[in-house]
Amino acid sequence: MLWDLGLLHVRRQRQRHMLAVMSAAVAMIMLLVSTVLSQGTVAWVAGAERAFLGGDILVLPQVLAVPGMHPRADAQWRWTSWSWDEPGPLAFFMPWIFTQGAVVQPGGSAQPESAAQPGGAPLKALEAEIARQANVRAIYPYYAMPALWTVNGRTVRVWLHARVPELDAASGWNRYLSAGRPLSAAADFTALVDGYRHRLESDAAKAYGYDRYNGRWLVAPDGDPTIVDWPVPPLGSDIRLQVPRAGTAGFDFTRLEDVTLTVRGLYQLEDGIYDWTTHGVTNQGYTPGIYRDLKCSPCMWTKEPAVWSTTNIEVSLATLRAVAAKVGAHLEPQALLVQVKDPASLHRTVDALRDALPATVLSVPEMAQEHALDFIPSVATPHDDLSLLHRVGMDPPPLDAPPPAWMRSTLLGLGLAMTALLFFANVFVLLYTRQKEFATFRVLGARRSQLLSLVAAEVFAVSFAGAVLGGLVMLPMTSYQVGTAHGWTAVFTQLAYVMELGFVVSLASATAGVLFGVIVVRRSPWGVLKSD
Amino acid sequence: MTTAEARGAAAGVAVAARGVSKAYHRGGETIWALRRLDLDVPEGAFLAVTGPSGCGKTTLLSVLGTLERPTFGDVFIDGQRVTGLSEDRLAEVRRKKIGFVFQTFYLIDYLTALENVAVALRFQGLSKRAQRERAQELLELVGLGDRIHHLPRELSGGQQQRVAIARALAAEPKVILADEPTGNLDQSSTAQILKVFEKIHAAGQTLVVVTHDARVADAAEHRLRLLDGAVVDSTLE
Ligand SMILES: Nc1ncnc2c1ncn2[C@@H]1O[C@H](COP(=O)(O)OP(=O)(O)OP(=O)(O)O)[C@@H](O)[C@H]1O
Ligand SMILES: [Mg+2]
Repeated sequence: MLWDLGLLHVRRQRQRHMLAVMSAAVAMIMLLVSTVLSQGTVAWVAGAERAFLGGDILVLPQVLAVPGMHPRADAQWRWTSWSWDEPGPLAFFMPWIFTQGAVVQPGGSAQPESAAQPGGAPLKALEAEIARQANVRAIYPYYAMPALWTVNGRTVRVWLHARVPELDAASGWNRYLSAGRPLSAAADFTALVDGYRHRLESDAAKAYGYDRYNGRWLVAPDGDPTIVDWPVPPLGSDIRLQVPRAGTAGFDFTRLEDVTLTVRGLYQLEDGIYDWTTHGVTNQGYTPGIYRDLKCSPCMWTKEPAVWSTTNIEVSLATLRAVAAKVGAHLEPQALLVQVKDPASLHRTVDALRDALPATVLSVPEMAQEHALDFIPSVATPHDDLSLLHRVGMDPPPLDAPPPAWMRSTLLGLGLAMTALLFFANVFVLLYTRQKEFATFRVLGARRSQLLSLVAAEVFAVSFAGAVLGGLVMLPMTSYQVGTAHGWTAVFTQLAYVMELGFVVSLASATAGVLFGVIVVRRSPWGVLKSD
Repeated sequence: MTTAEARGAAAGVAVAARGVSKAYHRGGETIWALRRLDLDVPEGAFLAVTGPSGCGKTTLLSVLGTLERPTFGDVFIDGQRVTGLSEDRLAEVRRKKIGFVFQTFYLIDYLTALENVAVALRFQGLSKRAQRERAQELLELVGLGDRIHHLPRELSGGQQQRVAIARALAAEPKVILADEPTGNLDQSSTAQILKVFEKIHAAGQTLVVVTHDARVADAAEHRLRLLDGAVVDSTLE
């Protein structure tokens, strides 16, 4: 066999093969771009490969052992979907760019856990930027993550909110959530329905004719008690959730992980008098007949029609972290809540933040104005030292439909055609510029099959070098896709996949080389030699 | 005694042609490059083939060398009738029995002199080491012992041709067919090539050399003159 001469040729005439390697690299890039963009191939192959391997190929604990989660644009980031209990007496700040199903992590790459507490290096930088403002007293991270909760055969989309200890302690949020009492550290679970504190219907409510709702959630928006037809998980019971893996287009609800939470801290209301602030009026003992045992401070209800679209479950930060780890997600704060020192100069602070950060920053009154929600300032007013900032980056785009099928198949078709063309051109050039050499070998008595082995080796070597090069060039793109879909440990798995793809592609072009080579080496060697 | 020998390829004949004709077809017209040619090249002979341009010398070599099939007639190499063998069997015949030398050398440009010669030995079932040793011997034989690691482009035309001769000799062929081996060379290079030919002829190598060069023809043991595809004059009996 003559295959070693093919490799020798590549080695001896590197410049000549450089062009071929480059064109193979470009071909590989096209192949990856078209298949990844149109079909998401790298992600699904990496997924299949992980499933096959039962894990990732290589894990470097100190670098990438922490799987990455990319909280990304979704309903939670849309102003209208915000649960109004979060505003509370706090300012908050969203560090992400809000595009549907697109990049959201600042810097675009996962950080090791150590650097990411809280928020990873980019978020740290952002925090530092905010902290430089003179009027900023404190910055609190806020965490949330989506899940599915199946109750009575009905699946509800919920948000898991983290109860962040320092946020609880330092803000009115905690007071609001816990009716003034700090929740015990053991209380690992509370539930909010549509952003509102709700309660298990009590005996007292029964007394008022609501006994038929016993064992269900009672939600009281704006004076109208509403019954949510879900059973109440008793304390100490388990609540089963399904948490989507972090995927490229937001959380991937097609691949879910089961997570069990133990109900230890269901929000229990005390009987008694409460302050209830709404619409700028502080009510005492408002409609005591029904709400006698509700205690909120401050508390508000609203008839916002979208309220039923989301459901929130609150867990401790530690629990949320455990859940995130389970789904291979890297938990990062998704918002920064900014507390100001001097509410009088709030607007100057907001302006300064606007200048310092490439973002839309909203203060509470502005938000209220924009959304005609007059209760927000009233909520904030009792805590004048706090204001609300909201960064939406860009206006959230409308939920974008995936590109139409014809566009994707055109992209794929074009990409594949170009790839094939480039690899084919390589083979063609290699064969047709070397006919005299092949003829010489034939005159020396080489069999045609021996020449084909030379062609195959050379085409393979050149294609593989090019494919690996192209694969490396595209590594950021493919890594990002795989990292966000499967966690960052999977990037090594994907590296192997890119190699495999290069191998397969090179094998294909070597085969093409052999097929065309059959035609070339069939030519009478004497005819070839005589023809010059 | 095989049938082939019975039909005319006597023992001691390296290459033989029996009634060989070769036609080329070109745009409806037929050119007879060889016309019922008979030839016996005895083993160990050094034959020079001469004749005017276009008389069929190259065609004769390619037919004798199994690179082209005769239109009519038979060719015998080492007593074996090769007309009608398959392409791969012909490759085997060339590999074992025939060494070619061309006017424009046809060395492999990315291989060194040593490797160019060794390539021809790859098919002989020799170890890599034996291949290199033999190639080195051959290059020394043609006077290039000090140039073995040079690439063809780093050698003069005469040196390249000597590498090509060493390559042709590599497989210890029954016959060496050379087509105007000195056609591209100056006088001194031609003299060197002639010296090599004489040396290998003295060692018993059969040689058929097509040439326009009177000195090459003079140096040969036998001369054959072709005209219009037929032998007009031959010192072979
Ligand atoms: N492939 C071909 N197709 C058509 N005619 C051909 C072909 N090859 C050779 N001929 C013709 O056959 C005849 C013999 O050609 P050949 O090459 O054998 O001549 P030659 O004796 O080697 O000449 P020179 O001394 O110029 O090399 C010429 O008339 C030539 O035109
Ligand atoms: Mg000629």
